[in-house]
Amino acid sequence: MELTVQQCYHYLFWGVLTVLALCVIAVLVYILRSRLTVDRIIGINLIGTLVVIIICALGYVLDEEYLADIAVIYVVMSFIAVMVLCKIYIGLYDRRRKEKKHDR
Amino acid sequence: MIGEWIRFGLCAVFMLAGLFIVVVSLIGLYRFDFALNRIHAAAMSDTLSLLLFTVGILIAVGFHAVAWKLVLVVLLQWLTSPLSSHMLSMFEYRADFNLENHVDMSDAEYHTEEAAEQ
Repeated sequence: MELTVQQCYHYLFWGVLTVLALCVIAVLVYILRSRLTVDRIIGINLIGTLVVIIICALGYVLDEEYLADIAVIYVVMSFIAVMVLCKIYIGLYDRRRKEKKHDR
Repeated sequence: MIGEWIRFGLCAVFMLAGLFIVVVSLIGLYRFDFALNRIHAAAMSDTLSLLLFTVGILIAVGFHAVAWKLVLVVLLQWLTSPLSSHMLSMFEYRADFNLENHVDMSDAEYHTEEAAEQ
């Protein structure tokens, strides 16, 4: 049986997608294991990037063009999520530090 | 026919290189001791591996309308990823109270409100 180019693309993309899904699970385990809030936000950022890559690859495999648009939206949304979380926690830590200074 | 196989080979090389970068950054995420190092490891997969994957997919897609959207994805990620890494390191700077013990901060400016008051 001869292997065609289309079949090779199929195997390549599904293999890469499987490994990427395992990577996302590994990042989730990292988020659950870590103690620091910074590490959790790093994990959220990394999962956002991996999901963008997965969406782009799926757009080619499933031959759905609109998935590229969803990837664009997802990049911006993951950026906003990380930005908002960091802003909230920076404000929290600044306030905590100021209160500690007042206590002294 | 041979041209198609060369195109597939190029696509496979770029995709596997991107996968390699993702796995390396995950290993760095698990093994580095300090949060600033881990931010560096995660940012590597943000930029380089996304570029490699997108080049691989672009080779597979060819000249098509989707190609411009994929270029836009890389452009947006490259614009936003340094900003989020910067915010993360600012947060780490405030959250870690004994950062001076393992980072040389002799010429660091203090950007907290506390320093602004002084």
